[in-house]
Amino acid sequence: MLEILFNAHTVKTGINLATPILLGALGGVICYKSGIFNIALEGNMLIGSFAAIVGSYFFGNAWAGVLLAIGVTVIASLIYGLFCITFRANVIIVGFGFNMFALGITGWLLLPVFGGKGSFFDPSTPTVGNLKFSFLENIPVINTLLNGHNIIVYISWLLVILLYILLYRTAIGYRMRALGENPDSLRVSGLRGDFYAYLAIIISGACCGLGGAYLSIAHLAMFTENMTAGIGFISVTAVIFSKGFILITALAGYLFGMAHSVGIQLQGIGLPTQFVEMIPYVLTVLMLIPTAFRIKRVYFKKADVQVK
Amino acid sequence: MSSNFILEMKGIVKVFPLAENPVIANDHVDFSIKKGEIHALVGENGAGKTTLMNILYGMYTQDEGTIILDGMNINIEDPKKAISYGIGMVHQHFVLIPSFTVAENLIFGYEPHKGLFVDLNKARQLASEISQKYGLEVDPDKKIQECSLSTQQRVEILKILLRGASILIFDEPTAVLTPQETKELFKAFRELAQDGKTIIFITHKLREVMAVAERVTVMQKGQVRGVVNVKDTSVEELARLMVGRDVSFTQRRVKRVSDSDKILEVDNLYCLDERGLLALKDVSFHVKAGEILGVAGVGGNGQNELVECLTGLRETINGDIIYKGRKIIKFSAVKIRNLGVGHIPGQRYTRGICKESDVLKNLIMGAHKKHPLSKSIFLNLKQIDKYAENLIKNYSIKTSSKDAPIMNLSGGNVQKCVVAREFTLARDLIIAEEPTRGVDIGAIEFIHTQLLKKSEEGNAIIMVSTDLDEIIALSSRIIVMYDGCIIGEVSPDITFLEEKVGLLMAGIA
Amino acid sequence: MSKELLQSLLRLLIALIVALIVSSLFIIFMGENPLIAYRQLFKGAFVGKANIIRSLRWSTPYIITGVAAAVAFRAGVFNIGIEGCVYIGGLSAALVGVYVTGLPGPLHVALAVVVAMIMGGFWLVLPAFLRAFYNVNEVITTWMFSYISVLLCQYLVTYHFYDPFEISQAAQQVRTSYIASSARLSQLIPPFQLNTAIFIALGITILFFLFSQRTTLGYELEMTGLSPDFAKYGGINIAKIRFYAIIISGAIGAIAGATEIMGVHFRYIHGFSTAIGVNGILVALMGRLNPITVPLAAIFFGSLQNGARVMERTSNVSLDTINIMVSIIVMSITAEGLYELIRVKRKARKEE
Repeated sequence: MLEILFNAHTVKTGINLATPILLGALGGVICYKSGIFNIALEGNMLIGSFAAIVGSYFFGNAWAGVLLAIGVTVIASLIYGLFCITFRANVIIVGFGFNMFALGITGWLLLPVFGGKGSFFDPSTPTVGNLKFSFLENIPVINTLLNGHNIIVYISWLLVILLYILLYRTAIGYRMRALGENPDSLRVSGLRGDFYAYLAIIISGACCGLGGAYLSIAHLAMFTENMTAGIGFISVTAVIFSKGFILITALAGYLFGMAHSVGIQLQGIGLPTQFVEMIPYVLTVLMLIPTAFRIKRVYFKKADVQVK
Repeated sequence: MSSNFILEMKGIVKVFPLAENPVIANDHVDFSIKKGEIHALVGENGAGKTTLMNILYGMYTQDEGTIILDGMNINIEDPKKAISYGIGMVHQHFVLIPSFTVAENLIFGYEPHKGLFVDLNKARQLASEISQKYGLEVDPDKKIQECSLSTQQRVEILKILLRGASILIFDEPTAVLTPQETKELFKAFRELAQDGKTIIFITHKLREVMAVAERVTVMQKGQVRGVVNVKDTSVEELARLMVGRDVSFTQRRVKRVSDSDKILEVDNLYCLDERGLLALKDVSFHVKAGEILGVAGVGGNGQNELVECLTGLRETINGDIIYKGRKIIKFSAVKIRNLGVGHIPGQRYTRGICKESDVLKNLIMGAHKKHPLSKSIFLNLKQIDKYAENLIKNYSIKTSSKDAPIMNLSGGNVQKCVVAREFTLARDLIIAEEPTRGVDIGAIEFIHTQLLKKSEEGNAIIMVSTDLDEIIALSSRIIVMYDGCIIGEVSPDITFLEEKVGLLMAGIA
Repeated sequence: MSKELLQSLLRLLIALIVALIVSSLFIIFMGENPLIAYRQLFKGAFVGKANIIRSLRWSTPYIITGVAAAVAFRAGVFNIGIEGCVYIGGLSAALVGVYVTGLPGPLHVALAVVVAMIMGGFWLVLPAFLRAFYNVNEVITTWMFSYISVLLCQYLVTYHFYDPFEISQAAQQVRTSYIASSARLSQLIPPFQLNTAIFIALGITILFFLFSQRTTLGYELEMTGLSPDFAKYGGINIAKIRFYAIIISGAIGAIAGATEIMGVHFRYIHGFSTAIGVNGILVALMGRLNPITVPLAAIFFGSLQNGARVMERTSNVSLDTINIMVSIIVMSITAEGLYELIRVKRKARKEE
């Protein structure tokens, strides 16, 4: 039984499923650390996945697709940021509206851009492809874990490290974290909080764009309506669960991926498809339950501000 | 020009133009400090001392007046400009980042670089250097959230010293310190002064002034009442300057109450604040029917926490609260409210009203579940309209209609809504926090009259206020809070009342 | 007309104009003339007996889900899992319609609705509890429950409640048997699909109005949503209010599903809800959670959708344009900061 569940295929599938969640969550965690609750990851990734396949198809190059995905998603993310940071609108309502907008526009664009409805698939569209390291091929466990994955998977691992370094070793990262913990500290030092907030939005846009690209053009170049199907929200959960610790966020993402993958394997031994598909969503709710029992530590007393 | 004044503020005027009630925070204030001195700035709430220092620190710009630093006229547009002039401020609420280490906090905003990355070693080095230079010991690698408040304060001091501050402003620095830590802070003041730094500290604690300051500037109601050398003065004189009124224009209108029931009794109350420190220490008092108990004191000495404990919004850790013979210490806010305890909250716009709603809906809160405003689950709209109209009439609330958004009303009328609602709901006990803060003169008069009327009707009233005039005008008895304790009780009939209360407010029993 | 109402309407108008302009760009991109397209849209929505009837038919479920969303949002809890409740309600009603026999018409319908409500409310107990008492983010939990419920219903019908006479095994054709005629809602104007559900929707609207304006619970709900601090200090148990708000919201959402099954499809069929729940949320936001304007927004939205179908047939512009328009409207309406910016700028210009 264990071999059925935990074989190389399960691991590979798990990594495959985890990667978009991870990428979305990386974007989410940067915003979280900067004091922004980004609930538009879902919409951003959807826009990214659409832009990716457009770029790949029309430029005949998967990396053109990736770049287009990142570019477009950053712009979309900035719109969300504009409403939340500068216009100070209700984050949840704007997020919901934004996600609906992304859903609507990607579905709508299928017709004018590709002439199809509901989905688009053309086998001639270039995909990103995998990387094979020959020197790993003979090492038993490591080979499964580290070899033969999609290039974007490797990029995602790199991103975890890069973003960690950004947040904890660069001045920009310090200021973003300060913005998240105590915005007054920036004001007193003459720094503009909005600048770093928008920076966080841009980075999260890039991560979501990459995540969306993974969904549509990593292995099989295809786009279906509402491709993300809640992945963005699972990313948000990974962020909340991890309390902003990037390494734990990454682990949470992989937890979701592996659980889903194991579920798929269970399908082979009789678990109905529907329950397998439910796994990520149920797991999301379960992982939010521990957040209920968190004591919020107050370090500095807040003033009662009467804003007219 | 006096050559040993390093900084002179001349003729500073700052007016906050609120619609109904312009506040003259600084009324032609002159303030000067000598190089290397420790100078205390003293006054009760609303005296204008914080505003003055905020102008110096660049948070506000003065409407009139000049600032002369080292003989040169300067403009301080923002905090960054201030620090470039060598003026640094240690705030009452620290502006540090909890998860950063001491070193990281010290270099924040001016991070040393090694290539693309922040040079943490350099940061640690800077931290050690500056810490040793000024004898303020800190552990560069400890996270701020794990440091004691006095250590955090030390980091704040080092931070501005690192930026080259030569004039250091402290806003109520000992609020969060133990007596031992206060001693250490004052030792640091002296060492810094010897090093040529100039120290200004805002405080209401006169003993501290006498202990460490060289000169004192006393402010009251936006004006400077006196500038004295500490060795030439006494706490009594300072208290007089701080709270003495030239003309007692506040009419005393209180009746004596001798024999009536104790409505509320508080015994040995202790509670904690958000930081886990004791906010109330062994507080005991009582209020009788028909009395107005004035709770005086400078803000931040436990008054907020006391009211929260009494209204069930804060957990206590010891003691008893007895209301009309019943122990209510474990009761929830809902239950206490339903017992008929009226509460005019200090946070007017977050707790007192619903900003987004209209006057009517604000007036019926609390009464909406009871007859005649509702019958079972249904609201009786006609009765509600009548109720609201009555309140509007009886309390002279100026509003275009009862359906007008409450934020259309002036500050005074908003408060009248709160007062109207609470006074009507309350049975026997009313707790009023800052009842006339930010309210225009007419409304102040009105609210005071209503308070007196309620007390004459036999209600017990606890009035927590930092406005000494109000306390003196209305209280049957006065207790003063200082540092979480009731430092003393005063009868309003004594001579030199203001001075006595002023001394208590300043920590001198 | 009070100044505030005028301001609200003005904001709605601005949002509408912004949305129209942006959508025009899309339409131009399609190579079509926006003015012609909008004319088709308007005609398809409001002109002609057939169009009006169809518009009403499509508005009906949105009125119900709009109210469902509004109830929760008014209390400050963002239940976005209404779609899930629609499915739960639909399946519950279908099962009552198929497996309960011997009841006269009105009773059968009433039973189906009641069961749907109970199941819809019950479905959200966990997210409601977590939010009300432990402050766990309800946006995520309810959205997840939405997906879970669709899958759950799919499973139940595929493996347990399928139509035994249905031969086709295609994955999309997941359906129950037809419900008994006693459980069906009468068709008002055959061959159109408008049925008595519209009266149920009307009833719900009236109840919502009465609830918000005339009951103590409605008042407490509104205060909890507008200012939780004020409500708590005023003696309201905000945790309980939030809990019941989500549950009631789910129950009402379930009714929408039930009426769709009982009035239009007469059987549970997978995918019967074309985002009824999700659009209900948009409708509630457009209608600013107000018991009078939410149903109006629902009718507006339903008519627009119907008009968009016509527009789609006669020009190349797709149905999704409406969704885009509406989401832009929603985002604009809530951009309070933008209006403040405009107001501040206007004030500054006046003082020059």
